[in-house]
Order: sequence, then structure tokens, then C-alpha cells
Amino acid sequence: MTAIIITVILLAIGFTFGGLAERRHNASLDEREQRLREAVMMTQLKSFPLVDVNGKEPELLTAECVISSDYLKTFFAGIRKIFGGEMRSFQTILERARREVMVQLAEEAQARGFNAICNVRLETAQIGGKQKGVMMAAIQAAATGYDCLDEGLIPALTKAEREAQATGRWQQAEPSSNPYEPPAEYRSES
Amino acid sequence: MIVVNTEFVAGYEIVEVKGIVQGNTVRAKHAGRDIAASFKNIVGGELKGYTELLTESRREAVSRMVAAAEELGANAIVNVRFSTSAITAGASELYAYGTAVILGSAS
Repeated sequence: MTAIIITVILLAIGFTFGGLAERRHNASLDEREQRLREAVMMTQLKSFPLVDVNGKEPELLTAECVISSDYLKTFFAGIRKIFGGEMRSFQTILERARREVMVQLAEEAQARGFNAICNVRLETAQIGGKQKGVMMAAIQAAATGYDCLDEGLIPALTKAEREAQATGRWQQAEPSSNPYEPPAEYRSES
Repeated sequence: MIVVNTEFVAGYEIVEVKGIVQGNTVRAKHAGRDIAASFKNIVGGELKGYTELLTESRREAVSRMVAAAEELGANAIVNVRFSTSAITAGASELYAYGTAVILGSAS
């Protein structure tokens, strides 16, 4: 009987505080994403080989975030494990962690005076593998920050493309090809 | 030292490739943090202790990698990658590796 009461109390705590934490986090993410969308151009292009940089050295940007599950989510996931299917409750935690690191990357870029990010890599980090009953989403991210000319990344790329064509470096590119695609000499084998 | 995770650096040319450099670290938080984390598992929210753990490990691994590149006489590291592995409960290994190169400004 006491076991049931304790479980119910823990579920109530999970429902109250977990839900609160999630709503707060999502609200802050919405607000920060809105603010950063204009300020920082975020891509996962491998690099900007022909972009016009403002003479500022590009730098590595990193971010990490570890978010814990709450008791209610763990409980629902346990029930879900019996029937199988999509684990919505854990999925939202991973989603929040991913959004958080993306926003952190953009914020760090802005703080260091960059206006474009390329090669964003997200990865789940492994912390304390077999600690029992602790479900957490650990995400780490790395990217490279660039300070591009004010006209923005896409005009800068097309301008660079024009220059490259003039100097004969872009000969293989077809006129209708994707402006993001680097010329063959920059393309990696992967 | 320019450290980037792209294969090329805009505005620079790779003059010489020095080879792969790496840095790693295994770190753990004190038991108190682990206990706090298991409580956090009831109420939910960010596990700040573990986030810190990752940040510290990353800094350490990168600085070791940079030291290795400096030893080779490189002035930049390109294509940096990170990977983590869980060693035991509450401890993690962070491994950073990249290619040490000498960059010259593009003519």
C-alpha cells in the first residue's frame, strides 16, 4: 500500500515539476530561436570554401546539454516498453536537448562576433553507461563559426561563384547547379 | 591556432599536411553529482553537473590536441571530430581528433 502511495506521489512530482521544466524550456527555446534566426545563418554545409570572409579567423564552436527524464516520463516509457511503439516521452527530451545545443551554438557564434555557422555536427554523448534507472539525453555539438560579409551568405556565395568562374576555378559547375555545392576540387570523397 | 571542424578554411590554403593529432580525457564527477542526478530523474530538467562534465572534458581534450599540433609545428587543425564513450557510471571519455596542417593565406 505504502509503495503505491509513494509511486503516486513521485508521479505527481514528475507531472508537476517535469511538465513545468519542459514548458519553461520550450518557451525559452522558442524565444531564443526567434531572436537568433535573423542574426546567425546556420548550415551544416561542410565548409564555405569560396565565401567572402571579413578577415576574421574562423573558430570552432561547441555546445553540450544533458537533460534528465522525470518520473512520469520514465513511468510511461516503462508501460510503452510492454506494448512497444514510439516512446513520445523520451523523444521530447532528445528534441529539447538538440534544440538547446543548436541555440547554444548560435548564441556562442553571436557572442564571438560570427554571423554564419557551417558544419554543424550533433552527437549523443555517452555518460555513465550502466547507471541503473537514469535516463538522460546527452547531446554534444560542434560547428565552425565564420564572419561573412554583411550582404549575407547567399549573395556572398554567388559573388564568390562569379569570381571563381572568372578565374576559371568553377569550370565544371553547370549553370543551373546548386550554388551551395563547392567545386570539384573542394569536394570530399565521402 | 585555428581549430575548425571543416575540411577547408575560407580565406586560407592548406600548405602542408602534418598528420592526425588527438587528445583525450576521462573524467568523472564526484558522487554527490551522481546522487543529485538520480534525484533530478524524478523531477526532470537539465543535469547541469553532467553538462559541465562534458564542457570540461571537451576543453581538456581540445587543449591536449592543440598541444600535439604545436609540437608538430602546425598552425591549424582542420576536420576536428569528437567522440565520447561511457567508461563506468558517471564517467566519460571524450576523444578529440583532427588533422594538423599549416595554413597559408590564399593568393
